[in-house]
Amino acid sequence: MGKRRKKPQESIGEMDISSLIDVSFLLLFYFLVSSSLIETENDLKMNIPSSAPPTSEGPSIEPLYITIRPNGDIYEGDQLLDRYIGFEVPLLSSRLEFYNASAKATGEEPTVQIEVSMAAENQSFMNVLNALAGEQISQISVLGVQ
Amino acid sequence: MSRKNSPLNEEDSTMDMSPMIDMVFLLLVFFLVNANMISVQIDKNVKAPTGSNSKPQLNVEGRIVVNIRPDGSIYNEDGSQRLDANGLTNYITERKAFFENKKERPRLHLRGDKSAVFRFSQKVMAAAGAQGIDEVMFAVVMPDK
Repeated sequence: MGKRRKKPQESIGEMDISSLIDVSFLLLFYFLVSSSLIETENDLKMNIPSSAPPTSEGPSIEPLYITIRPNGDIYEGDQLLDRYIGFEVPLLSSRLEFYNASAKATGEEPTVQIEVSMAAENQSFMNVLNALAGEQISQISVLGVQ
Repeated sequence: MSRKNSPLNEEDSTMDMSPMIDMVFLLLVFFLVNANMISVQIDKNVKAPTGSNSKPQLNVEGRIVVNIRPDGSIYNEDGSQRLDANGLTNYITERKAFFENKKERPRLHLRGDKSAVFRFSQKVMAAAGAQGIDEVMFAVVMPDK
């Protein structure tokens, strides 16, 4: 009968760590997956002065008046700019671009006054703010109307 | 000889696993740390509106977080306490004092649900404005590609 070959001398206290590695991988995958699942929120930063006339330096450019109707449509005065469909507001964006350019040309700070219907959805208001952020206009005043 | 020596004779090969375990732990710690970097408590009942021109949150200091749920109810930062008009004012006062003590500039972080109506956002902005808080950060998410 052949002898069974003895195992090489095991060091004292040797631990089978394969399960530890399995757990480590599990933890790793968990954090990998969960960090991509959470929808991170971004910021749209605006300066909304609470008190009247924010500018103290001389006459400023005529502000742009935007109205958001209860159904979310965006008007400038009586002229319809964009309907509330999704997130895009192309006509408002081009109008803002034009306004911004003319403000910069005269060296004035562009300012926009937004009249928002109280019943308009937040998304419609955010569409306008998004367009403003795209033009880097952060000086705005907001008025809620019934 | 009990065993022929042949080129194909395989030894008992055991791989040294310790570098791999070290790498795993490194990766784990990396994701653990990264996952906690931006910490503003989120009330899960609020789905933020979409805005493509939004910027990632760079500075989390001084944020007075107010949540507005789809039905228009106003909640505090972690969504645990509903705020009525007085409650909202007190909450803003208290948070403003807290940040001023920490020498951080207080600003309003408005997390309004995308389908809530503007009336409630207006209420919150007015309450913050009444206490001199002019800077408002609106929470938005990037659009799906």
